[in-house]
Amino acid sequence: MKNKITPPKTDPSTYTVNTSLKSLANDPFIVQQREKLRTLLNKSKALELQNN
Amino acid sequence: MEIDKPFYPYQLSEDALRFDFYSVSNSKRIHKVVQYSPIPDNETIFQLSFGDLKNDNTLDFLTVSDNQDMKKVLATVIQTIFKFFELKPDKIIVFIGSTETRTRLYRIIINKLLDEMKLYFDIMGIREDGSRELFIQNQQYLAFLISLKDEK
Repeated sequence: MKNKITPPKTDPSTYTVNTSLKSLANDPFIVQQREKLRTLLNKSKALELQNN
Repeated sequence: MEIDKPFYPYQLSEDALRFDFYSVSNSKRIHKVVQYSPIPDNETIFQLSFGDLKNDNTLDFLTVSDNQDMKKVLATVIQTIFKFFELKPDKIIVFIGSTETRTRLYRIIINKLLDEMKLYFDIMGIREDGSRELFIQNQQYLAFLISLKDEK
């Protein structure tokens, strides 16, 4: 496996870690969009297998 | 470079998957959130979601805030992408517009930034039928995949 290129490092002075931020991954709209993406990615994978 | 333009300082969660910042103008201050979340059945791909945080702690993906700072907001979202890949170089980001209009806007933004983004990222477009290809300008993609380029 090839190594990935290293993009410029982000400047630590421009962000802070906030331990009280909770994940919003289960927000209803995100979940809905995720399902749409999951279906599309599965379709894409199936198409790729079919073409190979 | 466009992607080095001024951006808002941001906060990130301990798991480095949620990024919060404020879009600020003379008239309003809007709490923005970029959330990365894994796609089920796929350990490699993370969904990028971007919206305004509402009082009930859910996100609004539909309102056009029109806070006269789109470039700065966009530059901040791009910073979160750099940070994401700094910590997870082998992962892939996928995103889709919350509406057709938003998807078209994303396509226009990628078109505009493509030459600069190609220095670091491979960007693919996925069509509605599931076919995918390296991003070509002015094509009708439904979703977009971003990964770090391989070293030559």
